[in-house]
Amino acid sequence: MQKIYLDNAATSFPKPEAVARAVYDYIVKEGVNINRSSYSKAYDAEVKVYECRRLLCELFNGPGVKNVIFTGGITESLNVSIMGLLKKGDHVLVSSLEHNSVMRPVINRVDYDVIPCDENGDMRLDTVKSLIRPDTKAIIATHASNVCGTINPLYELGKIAKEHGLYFIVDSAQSGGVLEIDMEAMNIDVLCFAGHKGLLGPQGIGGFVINNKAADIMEPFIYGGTGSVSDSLRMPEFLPDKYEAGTLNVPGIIGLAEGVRCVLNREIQEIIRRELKATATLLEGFDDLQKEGRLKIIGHNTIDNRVGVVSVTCNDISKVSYLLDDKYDIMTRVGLHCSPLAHKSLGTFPEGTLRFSVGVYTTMLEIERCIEAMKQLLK
Amino acid sequence: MNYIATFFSHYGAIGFDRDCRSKNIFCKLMPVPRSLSSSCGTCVFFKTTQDIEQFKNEDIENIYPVDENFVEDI
Repeated sequence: MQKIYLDNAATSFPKPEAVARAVYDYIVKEGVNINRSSYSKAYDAEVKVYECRRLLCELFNGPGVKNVIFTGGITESLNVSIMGLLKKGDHVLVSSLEHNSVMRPVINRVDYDVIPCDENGDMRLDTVKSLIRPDTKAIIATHASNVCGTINPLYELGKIAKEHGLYFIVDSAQSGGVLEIDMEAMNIDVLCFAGHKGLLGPQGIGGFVINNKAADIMEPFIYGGTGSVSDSLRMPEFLPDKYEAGTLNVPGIIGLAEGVRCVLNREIQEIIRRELKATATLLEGFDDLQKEGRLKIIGHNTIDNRVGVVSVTCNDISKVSYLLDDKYDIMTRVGLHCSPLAHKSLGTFPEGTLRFSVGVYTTMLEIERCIEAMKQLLK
Repeated sequence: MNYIATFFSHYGAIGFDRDCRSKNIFCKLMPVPRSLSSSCGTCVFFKTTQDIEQFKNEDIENIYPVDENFVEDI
């Protein structure tokens, strides 16, 4: 039986063939380092890395090509941003739906308050301003929840952040390459992105786009060689080198460039249309089961204000997840999804949920098979 | 006229090379001559008759005029 992959929130699969080809070709035919030596093969690779920065800047309407910084992944990006911009004694606001990649560095660094949400995970925007204190320095928010798919109101949050002189740091793990993100219009100071989810790149690459205001203040996290200002013991102050010590994941970046190119070619509107069409069908099928009392959809049970991440609770979610894989070759994720705060906000802590997450290549046939499998397992 | 542009980082050199190519200006990425001090080890040799001031940006460390045979001589 053909396997059905419904765990795109963890990592997207499959990847476009161009991504795999680009990584393979680089390792087999190029393989050089960049920003160090000065020969034509190195320059060829540097041009490709530059192009990846340019594509990301275009996708996110970033402040500049050099403001696109590569890291090993979005968790690293969030740590760099939070640790670099904030100090002990600072206070931040976070959304109710944050992943541990935000919460763990936050609790290790600053005081925080959680912006409440309703039962669907929709942010209570009316409460934000009342939570701001004299020592509040930033608002940190995920764009879309990796548990229930609910979308946070970035335009409104960015406006509030700007009005109150706060930094606005965004986690786009579930929305990069899926939802429109406009750093300028949303007043985002640091946009952290994952390379291997909606951007369709390989694992091991991610980054952040930082505006000049934040870059002037934010300390580097990793110090080391940059291939620039090599006569000095100090890290450079200019971008992107300030935040890119050490050898970059060059094959990862080159693969990511192909992924971003695919996203731009397909267009965000088409991607979200496809994913929400699949999600709508999934939700309709699950809603039938919900009406029979056999499961409960967590978050919106329609495609309003959500991405294609659907969580449910039912009897023995772990067993159901196991049987979905063992009997029906359907891959899902069960548990707390590294987001205990989100589960507490949604009322699903500590049991967790069974999560289905579609991708741009998910087919309607796969969705129909998944619904049928759940009907069989939950009867 | 021939020039060498030096940069603070490889990023700046690649960006400048792209700009020159997009304007059909002859240019070549190469190691910085040791006689020139630079933050970054890569420079761009380029030829232009245009006013050099328009080429300067925040990524450029310096622009040096060089003689006609510079590329052949190195």
